[in-house]
Amino acid sequence: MENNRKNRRDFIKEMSLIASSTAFLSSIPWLNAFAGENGKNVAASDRVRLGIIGVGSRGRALLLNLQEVNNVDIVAVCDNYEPNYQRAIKLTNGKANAYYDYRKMLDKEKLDGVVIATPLHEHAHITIDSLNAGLHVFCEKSMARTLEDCKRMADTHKATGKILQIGHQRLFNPVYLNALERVKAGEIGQITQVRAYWHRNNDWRRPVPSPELERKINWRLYKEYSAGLMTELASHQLQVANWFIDKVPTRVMGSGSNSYWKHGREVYDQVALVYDYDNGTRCIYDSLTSNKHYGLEEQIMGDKGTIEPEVNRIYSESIPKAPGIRQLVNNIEKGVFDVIPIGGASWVPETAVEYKGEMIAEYANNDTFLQMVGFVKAVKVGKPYKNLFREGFHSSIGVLLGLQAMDNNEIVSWPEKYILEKEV
Amino acid sequence: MPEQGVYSDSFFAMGTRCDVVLPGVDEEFGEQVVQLVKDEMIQLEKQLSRFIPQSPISRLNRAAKGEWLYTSQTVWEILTICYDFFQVSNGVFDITLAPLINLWKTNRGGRQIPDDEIGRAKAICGFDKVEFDIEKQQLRFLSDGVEFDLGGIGKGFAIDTIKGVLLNQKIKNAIVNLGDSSVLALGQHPNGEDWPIGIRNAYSKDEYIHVFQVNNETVTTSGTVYNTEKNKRGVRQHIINPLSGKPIESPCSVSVKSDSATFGEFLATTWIILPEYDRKILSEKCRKVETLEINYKSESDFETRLTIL
Repeated sequence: MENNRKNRRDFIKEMSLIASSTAFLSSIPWLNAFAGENGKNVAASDRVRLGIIGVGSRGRALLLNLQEVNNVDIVAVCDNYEPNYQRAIKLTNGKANAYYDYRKMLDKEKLDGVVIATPLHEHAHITIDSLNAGLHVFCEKSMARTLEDCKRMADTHKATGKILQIGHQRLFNPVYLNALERVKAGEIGQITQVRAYWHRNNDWRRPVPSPELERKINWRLYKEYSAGLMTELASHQLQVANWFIDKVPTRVMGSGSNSYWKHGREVYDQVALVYDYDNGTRCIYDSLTSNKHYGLEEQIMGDKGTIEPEVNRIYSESIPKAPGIRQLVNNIEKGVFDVIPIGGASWVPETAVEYKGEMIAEYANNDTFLQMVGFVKAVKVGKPYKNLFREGFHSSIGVLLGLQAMDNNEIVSWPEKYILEKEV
Repeated sequence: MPEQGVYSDSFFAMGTRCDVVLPGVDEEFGEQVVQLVKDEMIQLEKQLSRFIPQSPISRLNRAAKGEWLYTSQTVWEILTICYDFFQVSNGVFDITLAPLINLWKTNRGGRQIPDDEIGRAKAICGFDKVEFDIEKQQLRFLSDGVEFDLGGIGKGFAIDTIKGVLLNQKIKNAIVNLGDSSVLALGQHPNGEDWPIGIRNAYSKDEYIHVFQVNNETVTTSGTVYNTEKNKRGVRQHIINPLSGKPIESPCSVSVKSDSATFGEFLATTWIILPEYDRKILSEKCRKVETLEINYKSESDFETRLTIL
């Protein structure tokens, strides 16, 4: 564990290096969390008291990561499903008070903030109740099951002034941050398209101990609780597209179907969508549950290069010519006849023997941990990072508008009321 | 002087960089031509690479002795050409030396290779352990462990293939450069009668040791000296003398100007290994060929010999 902690300090150190590039810092305000991070012990009063609501598979991961963050006390856990409830007690060694009902937890505990990782349809009311109780909130993506709920969450966040951070960990991923920096520096030129996909080959079905628990356990398969592939997968990637294109889409069209899994699932098992932006840029998206060959990626394409952040690669559109060839081309253009220095000792490639692009950045990545560090820092300061919530909001709205386009077979324009202006 | 149009592009294939220069060709057509060249090289790599498990060469390399084997038309063609080269060079040009090449790779870092290890590797090498049935286009291994490695000839074969692709597209003038060691110079430079291909001093890159006047020909170089992008230089022990089982260690190179780069690769490699007397016999069989031999005595001193056949 000591070794593990050391590595986690290294993650933070890496992030503080990224944050130390000031030009970049202004466009990614949440990197401030890592600027000047020293990791030293602080007074007990500076410790952050958190409650975790929903300790299923994602909640468990968040809890374990939070336990590695300095100056955090997980003082309460809450889950209304008995096995998760028991697991939460075990994971916190009985030190956290355990609740079945989050309202009781909010009433009884003196908390600074909560981390919400319940099924999607429960995000909105728990978030709104917590914000109204004066707590800062970290809520897993996607924000909510309906557009109205997303909006209500945003409005409450604004009204209370409390932090509402949506769990898009790529925003804290050193590879993505480095890739974005290279985009801003013009390395791949003008982005004109992002092609993103998430392909899996499984039915998403979790084992159910008894039939009455089906909808509770397999909530991702039912429209009442989830928008399926859109809220669970596409939201991550639409967030990346919006972030890199640096715009909110103007409209979306799409098509979804149940083509493979015939097991009572209500949500689509494959989707294909096109998001348009006002400058003609496009995000082309698809997700599949019956083939995993291509896995997941966001192919960020500019006129000078391509970035594939999931595999940590950047590709240039033009491969550098041999120096002698460069000289030859120059000479021909100028009408000069000169010796061509290309024969002789063979040229040995130093790195690439075939062009597989270059690594964007060499980092041991743990973005889920880093986003929790970011949240805890914000809670300590008591103020949200500028524009961080905006990312989660537009992604959540975008996937639900996409669902609407597919459900109603229409092109859906992005309503004004669902646009958050950038804070400066 | 007036400015002239030229299309050029570079890509990676067959383990090297490929540069294509097409004077007087517009961008649209240039892109199409380069795509054809690229497709051809990718296809060739899929056929000829022993590092691609599904390639016809890899399949042959996995085959047991005794069994008659069929392979692709391209592989058959290159194997039979190589077999002719093997015979005409008295066994000096041999594409079955993979076990020795692999063994000497382990020598990096100065490890001494014991004679018995060399002997064991040598015992499984030898193109004479392959039997061809020309009529039925089939071959078989006469002993176990024989492995083909086309690394010494593949790029030359690619250059000759690309020449056909360019001629089919009615391209008259072009440079195609595969890693500086295999160059096709089709037609002529827009401002000259030929393409002046300069062979540089490996230790002083601004100094030309010789300039070949090349017109519809190829220039291939084999050698133990190499350069990298960042101007690192060194000697690679990758050319093995099949008779001794040991690599050529002295810093040297042989460049060959010839109609065919496949032939050029063969001659350049063979020239480095062959003793003087045998070279004479071989040169009697060559036509329209120039060879430039460079032996580096030190970083500042070298000897050259140009032979025009």
